Amino acid sequence: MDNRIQEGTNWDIGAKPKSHLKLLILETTENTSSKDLRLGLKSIWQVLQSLKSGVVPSLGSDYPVDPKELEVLIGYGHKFFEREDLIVPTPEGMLLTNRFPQPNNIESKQVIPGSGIIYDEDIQENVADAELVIQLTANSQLSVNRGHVEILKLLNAMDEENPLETGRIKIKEAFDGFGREDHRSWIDFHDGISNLRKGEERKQVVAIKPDNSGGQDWTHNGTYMVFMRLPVNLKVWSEVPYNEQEILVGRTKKSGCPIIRIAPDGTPVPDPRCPVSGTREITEEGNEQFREPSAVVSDEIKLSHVQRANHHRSPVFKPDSRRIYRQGFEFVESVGNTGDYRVGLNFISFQDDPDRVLFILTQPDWLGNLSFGGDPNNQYNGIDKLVTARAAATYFVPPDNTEVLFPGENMFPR
Amino acid sequence: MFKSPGGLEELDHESLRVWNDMIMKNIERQSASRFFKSNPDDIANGQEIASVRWSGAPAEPRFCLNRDWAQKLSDWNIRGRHETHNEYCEYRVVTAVDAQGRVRPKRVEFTSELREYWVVLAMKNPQGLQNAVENIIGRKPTWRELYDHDDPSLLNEDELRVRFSIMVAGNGNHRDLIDANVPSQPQGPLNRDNILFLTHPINGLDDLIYVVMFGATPYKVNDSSGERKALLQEIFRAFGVEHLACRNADPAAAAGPFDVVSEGREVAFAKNLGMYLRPLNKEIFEYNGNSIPDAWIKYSRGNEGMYQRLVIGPSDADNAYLDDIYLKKGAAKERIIGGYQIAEILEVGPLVVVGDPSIVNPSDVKFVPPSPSAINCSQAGVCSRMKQLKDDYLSSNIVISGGSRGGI
Repeated sequence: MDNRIQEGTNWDIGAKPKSHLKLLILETTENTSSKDLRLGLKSIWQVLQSLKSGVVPSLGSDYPVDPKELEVLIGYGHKFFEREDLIVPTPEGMLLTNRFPQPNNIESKQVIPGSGIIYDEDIQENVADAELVIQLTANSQLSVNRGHVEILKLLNAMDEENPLETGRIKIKEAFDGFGREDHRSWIDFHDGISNLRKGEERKQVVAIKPDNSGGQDWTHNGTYMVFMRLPVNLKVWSEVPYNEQEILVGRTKKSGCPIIRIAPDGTPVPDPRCPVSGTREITEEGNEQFREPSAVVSDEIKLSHVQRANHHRSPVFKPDSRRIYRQGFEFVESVGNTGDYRVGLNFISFQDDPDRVLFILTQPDWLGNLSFGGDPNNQYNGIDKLVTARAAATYFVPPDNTEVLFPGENMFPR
Repeated sequence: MFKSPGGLEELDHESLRVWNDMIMKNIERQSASRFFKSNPDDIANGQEIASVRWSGAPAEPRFCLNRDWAQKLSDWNIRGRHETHNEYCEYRVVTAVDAQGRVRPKRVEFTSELREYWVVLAMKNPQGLQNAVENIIGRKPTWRELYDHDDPSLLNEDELRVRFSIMVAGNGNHRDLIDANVPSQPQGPLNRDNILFLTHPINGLDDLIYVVMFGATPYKVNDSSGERKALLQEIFRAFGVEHLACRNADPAAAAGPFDVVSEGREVAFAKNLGMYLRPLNKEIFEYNGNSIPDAWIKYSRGNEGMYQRLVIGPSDADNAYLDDIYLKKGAAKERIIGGYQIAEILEVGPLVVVGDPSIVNPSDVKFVPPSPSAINCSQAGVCSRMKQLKDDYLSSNIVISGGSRGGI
């Protein structure tokens, strides 16, 4: 069996992150059998494969559309592995220790015990903790939305065929997002630029290997997706003075150069070699060495976000390196009918062991007990709630291969 | 030059000299790039950093078997300690009998103290050794427990070293001690029924120095894309020590210096050369629905930032047990039944001193062959030993107590 990592993970040389994201969270009714779910997923997968080749089901192949490099990925959540008739054991990374709990099960509403990221006050349910996720990425908003709508049409048609058993599979939530070609986040700093090199290095982080599959060979070249929908409180951020922002992030705001220490007058001091002559930002050629900040910085800068989130450990194939391959898709959405808007990040990472992420979120020398960074005993007003959460989950993303109709089909009873 | 690990004050001037000699002998035994300095004072603008560290949980049973078996085998009393605790972090579970007469885990004791430091103490300062042991186990050990002799003043330093190694320290894989029939692990009960310091032969000062110096060279490869910084597995492969990359300690101890010398920085061990336990997140421990009392997480054997001993759990005076404490991890709330669950979230590592960045000259660079693929650790030789250990465990008919799991 030739297991391949599913598309949409962008690990390989030549892969380019797409500009648009649609993350569909799927749930089933209690009486949806595994056999029915398998049939439903088979149909969903067929529709999505058809769209990938530019064929809209109701138009047929004579009237093709541009799929805009649509990529489709399917993942299975903890609720899926509560099914008792699956023909495979639960993958090693889908233990309860790697599950994001429901907000009401934790008094302080942390996204996970030991983390400083808490759910927004209005969040009563973590909707991402569901059976299935489908990630659609493409280079147009239309393409990912078309995938969403075609699945809705399919599910409606399935309900009409079996009126007594409607809504067995339904889309519980659909999260939108888009990439940023400026490589910055809503706080205007560079983001996601110290990621792993494409190809072998990313694969070693992403792919489940014999070392961490716990003897479950069928999971090799599968991966685990960690998803968090993370609003950013820009009002809080705007009240942090410019210099303090740079110290908190660990980079200069404009150039993105790493900060190495704080001068006696409180000014952040960037690496003097950065950016290289003739350039303005670390995203430009010649500044590659500064995208991953040095581990040698002063004690105050050790507390910054970039230093806490990535300790630059290797070899990356070992989960103990705590390296992850992260993709970020930003979002802007209205807040009910209030006239207010919410902005934030769809954090999506792929790794061979979800504990790589959970460790980063909960350990005191990393991001443990913090929303973003800095000194946990001396946080700027409101910084402890700079980043919050609306949903979070871990999914097993099974390998694809020619023997299955859709990734993960081999887990279902026949 | 080098001070006591943790900043402890148990070594007198002469003992410190021996400790320094021991370190220097290991450093001088191998070659290193110009970026490695044996004396941290030789580094201009030297800055002490703690970023060289790794998980204290045994890696071998995990990559050979799975997490469940890694926990069982690592927690398997003295056998687990001797066979699996080779990440410079050893632990022991203290048990006690509860009101119902059941034997239950009371607390876990972790150590990262280097064996060689204690051997110096044993050779040079038997009285200091006796006091140090008393401070840990709460009673004065007899000379016979320490040296298998009633009067250490009648023994010369070599005899003290050999006898202490037989009774308390094991041979640390040192050739002369092996030749003197010192067993790999101590025979006496002091460091078996208690945990004083590291005894696994791989958890040695010599291995630590070897790996750090091994890493402290700007290695590069030339491949189709041109010249690039080498990957750790390429370095380990090039020197035929691929298996070392599978553990937590070796790759991390090599990668830290490798990364800084690749920036043209000089590197040295910090003056307090030792292995230190990093902080834990107290928020993830729960007892009776609340955070656990501060006194139940007790670091010692060193100054702040250089702790070498950690005890987690209630004292004898408390009417509570280790398995009354829950570890909140993800949506799971697990009773703590041994040390492995804590070792998974406990990091260890030495302190190193690094200098300012500088130009790396072409002559500084050592090229290794390109070979970027991951190492398949599950095929490592040690895995047959782990599988045998699993079989032994199964045939020992151990009944696991108190291992319930819940969710939140």
